[in-house]
Amino acid sequence: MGDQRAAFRFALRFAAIAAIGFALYCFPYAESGPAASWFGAYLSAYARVAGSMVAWFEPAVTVAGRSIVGRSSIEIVKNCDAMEVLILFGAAVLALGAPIRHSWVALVSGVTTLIALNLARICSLYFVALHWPRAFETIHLEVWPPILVIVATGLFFVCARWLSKVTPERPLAAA
Amino acid sequence: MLPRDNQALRFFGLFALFFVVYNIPAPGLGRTVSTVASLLGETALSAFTSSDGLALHLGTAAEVRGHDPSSPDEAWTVVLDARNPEGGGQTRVNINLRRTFYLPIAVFLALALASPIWSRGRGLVVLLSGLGLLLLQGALWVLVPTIALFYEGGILDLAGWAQGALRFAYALIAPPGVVYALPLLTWAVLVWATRPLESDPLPTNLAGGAATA
Repeated sequence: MGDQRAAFRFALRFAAIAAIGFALYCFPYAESGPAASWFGAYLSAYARVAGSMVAWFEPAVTVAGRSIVGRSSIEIVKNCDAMEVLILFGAAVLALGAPIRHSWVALVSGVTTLIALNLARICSLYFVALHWPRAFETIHLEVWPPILVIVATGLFFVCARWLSKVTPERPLAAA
Repeated sequence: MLPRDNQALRFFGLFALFFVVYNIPAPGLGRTVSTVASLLGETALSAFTSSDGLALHLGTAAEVRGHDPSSPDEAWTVVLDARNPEGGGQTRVNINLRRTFYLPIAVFLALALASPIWSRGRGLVVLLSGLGLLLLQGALWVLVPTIALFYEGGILDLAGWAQGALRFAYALIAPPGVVYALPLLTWAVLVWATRPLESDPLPTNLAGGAATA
């Protein structure tokens, strides 16, 4: 019964945290309000980081606002940041109910790994658009998304195992 | 509750195998799916079509737009044409059945078939419930952009709050990862909800002592 209650608590916490994350991210903010400006600045920063990574392989590339422009060009829009995967991963780690200092380490490590993978995804898409434009849609929508979801799921299990090892005195909700 | 390494590896190997099999290009599959869907859809839509009101027509992409070899998912696409003679609004909605139905169902089937749930009807319950839920999710993937395009095309009018709700729903379903995350969550919830309870008796073929094997 204890295991079942713990799993139920995990499911409830996960649903609640994910709901808050998605509500904040997907809320239909006014198009000219502060939230829209913040998202614009955030996506431009994302484009600059991804553009600087693309520039390792193609130095002539430039970043204009949210667009990475070179021999090919791609634009970073709201869904390009893999936020859905980050929200689900973050909600799952926080829902484990580990002490906050340990959860924080797991969360930051996992999120950093996922952001790095997403930046690699954006860079690869730039070169796919350049060299194999017909494959762009498939690689964008059918190859990279499952990779991100599988890696996030794997990271969650790694974090859950680590958290159950470092907090043996306090059984985790889903471990 | 965390799986042991060998269990996890076996599960992941099976999942990957099934998922790859479902994604091997099958000539004719997309066209068959889109043809059947357009026939069923057209029959259902005839209820909403009248001589003086909203006119809706559903057909395969090749049928409606003509064959376009540069369109990567043409075989999987159905096209909904809508025309409102009263307001003069007209719009065309491309519905990609591969991304709205086939891929989520393929992910779910691969997860379900790879799971150790195939005893005492549990697997069947998970499979059928999951397919039902994914069909509902797929319907949402079709409905939300369709309503948005109908609104933009002047086919229907929406109140301010409904526009906000539509933008919110669209933002929720638009990320490409959701196509894969939703079947994963659906599978996880169903496998958990149908787990054997501690009080359940062992299946008769395991009760003789092989339960720990």
